[in-house]
Amino acid sequence: MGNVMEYECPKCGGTLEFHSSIQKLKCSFCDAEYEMEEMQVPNEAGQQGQNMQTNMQADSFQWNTDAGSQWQKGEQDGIRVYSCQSCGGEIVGDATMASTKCPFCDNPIVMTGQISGDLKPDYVLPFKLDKKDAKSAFEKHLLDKKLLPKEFRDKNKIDEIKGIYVPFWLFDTELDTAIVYNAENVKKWRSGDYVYTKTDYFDVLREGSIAFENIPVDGSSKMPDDLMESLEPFDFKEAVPFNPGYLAGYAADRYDVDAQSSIGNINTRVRQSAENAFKKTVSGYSYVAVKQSFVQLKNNTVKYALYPVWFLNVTWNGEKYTFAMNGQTGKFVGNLPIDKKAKRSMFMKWTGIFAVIGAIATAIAMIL
Amino acid sequence: MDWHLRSNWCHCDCHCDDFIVEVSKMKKRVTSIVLVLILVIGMTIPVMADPMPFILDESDVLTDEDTVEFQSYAENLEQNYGVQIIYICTDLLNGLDNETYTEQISAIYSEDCIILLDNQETGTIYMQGFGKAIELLDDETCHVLLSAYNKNSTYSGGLQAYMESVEECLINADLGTAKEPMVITEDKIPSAIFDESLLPRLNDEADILTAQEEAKILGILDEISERQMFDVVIAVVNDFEQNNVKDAAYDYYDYNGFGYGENNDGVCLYLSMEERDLNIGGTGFGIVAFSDFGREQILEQIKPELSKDDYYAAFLEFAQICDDYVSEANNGTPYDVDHKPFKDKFNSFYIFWGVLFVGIIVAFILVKIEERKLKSVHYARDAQDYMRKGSMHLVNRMDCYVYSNTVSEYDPKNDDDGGSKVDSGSSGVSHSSTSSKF
Repeated sequence: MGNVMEYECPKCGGTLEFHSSIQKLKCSFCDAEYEMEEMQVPNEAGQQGQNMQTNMQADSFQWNTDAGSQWQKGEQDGIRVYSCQSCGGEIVGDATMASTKCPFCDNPIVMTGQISGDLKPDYVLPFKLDKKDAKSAFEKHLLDKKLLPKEFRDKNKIDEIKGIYVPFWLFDTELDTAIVYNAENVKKWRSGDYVYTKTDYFDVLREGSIAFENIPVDGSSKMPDDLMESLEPFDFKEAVPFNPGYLAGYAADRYDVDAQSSIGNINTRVRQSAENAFKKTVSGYSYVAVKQSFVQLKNNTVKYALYPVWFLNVTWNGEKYTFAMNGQTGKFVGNLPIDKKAKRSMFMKWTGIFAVIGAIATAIAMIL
Repeated sequence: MDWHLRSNWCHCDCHCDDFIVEVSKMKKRVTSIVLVLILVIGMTIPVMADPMPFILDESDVLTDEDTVEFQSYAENLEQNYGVQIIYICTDLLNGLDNETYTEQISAIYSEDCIILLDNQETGTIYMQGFGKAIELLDDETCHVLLSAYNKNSTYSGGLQAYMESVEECLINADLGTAKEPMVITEDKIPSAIFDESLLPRLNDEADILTAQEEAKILGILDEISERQMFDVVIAVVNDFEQNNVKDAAYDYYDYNGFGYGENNDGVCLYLSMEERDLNIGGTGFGIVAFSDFGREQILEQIKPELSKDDYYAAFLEFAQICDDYVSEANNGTPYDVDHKPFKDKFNSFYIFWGVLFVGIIVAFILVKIEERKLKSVHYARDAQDYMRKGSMHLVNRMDCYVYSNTVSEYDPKNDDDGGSKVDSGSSGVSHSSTSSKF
């Protein structure tokens, strides 16, 4: 079967690359295709989180951040670390990785050595969409944007399109919550020449539990969190146990933010979701708003996974614009520049239209 | 043979017969003389005992003291100016009209007199001058004299004011030799004032107008009312006794005999200065001509002037507007919600700025929408997509009532269907009206 790490084609000895469109390894010489399981390297699951003591008088956001596993012997052999001398970014990839540009700042990267000391990912979500899909998604992203500078649409230069596996910590948790809502009921009625408005005020308590799974938080300081969160959701059902073969032809961002440090926004997200979910059980009121909420996590676990993202960097007017596409769902995000002149013109155009309508309406009113 | 008077048919023929004839003649002569004496004495006594009555209060509107006082006043006027001032208040004209009755009465007075007749039967006032008094009674003087009588709310007060005004006129007048009695006919003064109602169409009891302003507006009201056969009335009082200004206005209009025709067609603007309440009310055809919406519009037009105490301008405007309203109603198109009275250029101005303001808001929103399309990078707000299905369990729910708060807001109903809401005053006559503060 050849060196698993090199992924040689069993038939012709050519290099195997993972093709997202078919979700298989494919030989670039004889076009032979192989399932991933044929090249599988066993991995170990992550640890289970410990139960949390709940206390509904206060929040408790304690996450069990043990994730990932140790590399087995030989698994790291074909994986190299590449460093960018400009921005300090590090990516891992196989020894045959074609890309020589840093996905973060587009400068050349150099291979600095074999990967070592890192955790092995628990899962990988393979690429389902390829570079062509990324390019056409980018072109579609530019359509129907009236305030996009015309020059950007016509003359933008895509520096490079790179497929990167981004390290994510996936958090599972159950939580107990107690939420108090302010609720109001408003009644209006008329009696003679008076209009009466009666407002009844209520305090509404909802207590219960709810569970979340695979909430992703990226583990790379180089990946902007808002950019990564904009690409969500990722469907974990299509994730597979990690196999280095998936890295073939792609780079993987090296994690540099551990699970504990990456928690950040996740507490706010789960609290907001819990409040929204339980608010649906508060019915029969004209107005409902959260007054106070308590959240206590329990039974939480973390997994380490690699999620697929296509990156495009565009240079325009001396400025770099970074776009990203969810390599699984095809969701394309990235902020575009605003044409301020077009913005002013649009504002004046609509104001002018209404001014003309106003003048006509005034003339009609004066005549009638 | 005995002969004496008692036997005049006696047998003494000649002498007796002659004597008898002479006695008879003497008797007749004596009787005649006695009768003449009686007549002379009889004619003299009344002249020597009582003067001519100038105050004929057959309806008992004045007290005895007042009657004596005014009689004395009239006698003084006659003595000083040679003109008799006669006041008659009666409801017994025996079917005669005011003019005929006055003519008949004037026969027993001097040829220079002014007669003021307060006809309680028809509720009208009639004034006629004779002889030298004709020169006194030009249009303006007539108005002044009658206004003086009408202005006051009591008969004695009105008569007092009237006689004082007459005295003033007599003082100022240069009386010449008149040839014919002057009759106040409809040609000289509109008869509606004297024949139809107790009060003039403009009653400025609170004295907020000058005499010239009052005369001018009254002239306009009279002209409009006669031409349109529709009473346009303005009343300004100090205060009222009724519960509200509406009832006061209704009573004022009904009990002072305003209105044309059997339905008392007319409109009345009633102001009370103490409370600064006003009422605009239509009666008869006025209910049709002055709809609820129409009256509101009139209020909006005249309120600014009333608030600034520019009553002359407000009343002028009211008169002109009423003329227009009645004309439109006579054409079959009374002003209402579907036929608005005023081409309000001021509101038209607001339309332009209102639409422009909306346009600016819309332009801002549209630009923001387009701008947001360019921004697709943002933090996630929640973890909705990662909620495990069926994992939500509700273990406790409690809905606790805390308290209630009730707020009331005054919001009179707007009847957008148009027309007039009708009610009636204490007289039972139907009116429609709008009240307000000014």
